[in-house]
Amino acid sequence: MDDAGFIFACYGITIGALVAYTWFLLRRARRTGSDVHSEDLPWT
Amino acid sequence: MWRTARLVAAKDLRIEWRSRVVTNQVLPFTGLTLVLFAFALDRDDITTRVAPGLFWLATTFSLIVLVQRTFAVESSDGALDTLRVAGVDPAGIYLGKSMALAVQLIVLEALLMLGVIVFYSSQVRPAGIVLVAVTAVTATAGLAFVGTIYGGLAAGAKGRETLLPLLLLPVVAPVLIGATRAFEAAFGTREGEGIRKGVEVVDGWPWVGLLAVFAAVFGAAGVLAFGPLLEEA
Amino acid sequence: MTVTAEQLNEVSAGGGVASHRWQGPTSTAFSRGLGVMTIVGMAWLLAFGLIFSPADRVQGTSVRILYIHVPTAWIAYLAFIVTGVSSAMYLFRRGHSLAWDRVAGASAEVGVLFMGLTLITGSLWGRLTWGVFWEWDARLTTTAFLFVTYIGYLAVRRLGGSHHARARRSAVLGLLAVLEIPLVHFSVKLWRSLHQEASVARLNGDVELDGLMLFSLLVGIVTFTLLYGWLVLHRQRVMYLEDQYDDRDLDVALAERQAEAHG
Repeated sequence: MDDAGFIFACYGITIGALVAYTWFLLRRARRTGSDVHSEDLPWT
Repeated sequence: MWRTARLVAAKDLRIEWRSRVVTNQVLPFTGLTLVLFAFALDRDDITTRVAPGLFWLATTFSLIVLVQRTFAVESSDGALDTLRVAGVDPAGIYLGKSMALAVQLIVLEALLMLGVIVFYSSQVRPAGIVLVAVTAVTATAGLAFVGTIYGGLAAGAKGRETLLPLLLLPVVAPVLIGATRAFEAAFGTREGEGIRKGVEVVDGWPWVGLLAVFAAVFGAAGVLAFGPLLEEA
Repeated sequence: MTVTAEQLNEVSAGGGVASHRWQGPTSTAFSRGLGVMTIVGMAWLLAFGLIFSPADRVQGTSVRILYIHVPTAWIAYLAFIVTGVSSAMYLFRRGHSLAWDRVAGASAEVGVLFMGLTLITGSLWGRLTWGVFWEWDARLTTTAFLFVTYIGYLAVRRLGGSHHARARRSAVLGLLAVLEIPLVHFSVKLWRSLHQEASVARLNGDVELDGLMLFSLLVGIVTFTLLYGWLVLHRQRVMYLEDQYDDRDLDVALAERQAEAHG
């Protein structure tokens, strides 16, 4: 596959950014959520 | 609403007349940007060719300072809150502040025009004088309307003023594009030749249309949005 | 603020929200299902995008970037439409429910992420096909403008004040942004039409795809849409949790103030 560098860069950057965002989002959820565990949450 | 607007505009202009902040601080800043552009661009033939762009860039940057000033006069005594609590029509406040801002902008643009003629050897084609005037009026209206809305949003407490350029500059892009193209059509040599190849004065008018639409849209939006923006908690 | 293993256990033992270690407080059965589908979709996208689909006759292998670039662009625009609609819902419906504000904010944040990816992948694709990283055509320029505009929107959301003050301010900004984008797009288009020669010779992003290539593109769009949904769902739940946390702080402070007054 020619232009492999560019293509892998695109896929890598995209997936990397999305995974990183997801990771930090879930971590943030865990941290804030542990504090309000006694409340009834509207989605559970 | 219009009566409130006139009163608010008169108040703002009176404050300016007495404090002379704009004349003493902003206008020199504007003139300075013209000089700085010349330093940066270095070549006389280029500055003449891009003079319309530099004119409107200088106006845009000065707009930011003017908007900050226009709301700074209110926040020092909590004046806007007082007006709001007193039941003054927010739409009237909005229009009044916009009008005062527009007047200050026009004065600034007149000075800039002088600056551009002197520093960049710009000339307006005789056929283009009306175009220049109408462009200035519509563009200024648009800038004043948009500046007052976003100024209202960014005004007041700490950490907000720095937000104003980030919010305002993308929005004024259509004005920058339209006004510059219109001026490019109007500028030229006295013999009637344009600074841009093949562009005639009549080519500038569609851009004025764009500016008019912009001003109308944001004027209406501002009248509607200013009320909710003024409410704090 | 870290969560220790003991704290997590405590929460579980007390029948708290997270009954399994790996589940977070913002998970529900629906979101877990959505997440699984997204992961499967991503695997398909990688398989079809990189391996199974053929190289284009004209563009060569660079078309594989489009399977990422077009979906991210589509999601970014979708996200901003959702922000605009939610902003309107918040402002104009009688309840002024903060839920709309949360969706608007969450969608804008995810939108900015996808918009950034669109600009990066588009730039790389452009380098391959046109030889330049950037072109001042209407669509790219508007995309860059949208990106900056919504970064401004996110900054305004962080200005503080009550939840409703934040919501009102953001909603107005969200709607102004919706007004501004067509104006900017139209102005830029008019502007670039003055430079006709540039656009004629260029390949733009509207490449015709069929067969496996079209399928790969569709897999990309569907997967990213699922991912968008999952991210917004979690993000606005986290926002809810954070708002609750702030409210608790406020309640505690008020209670302390009252205790001082009486004590």
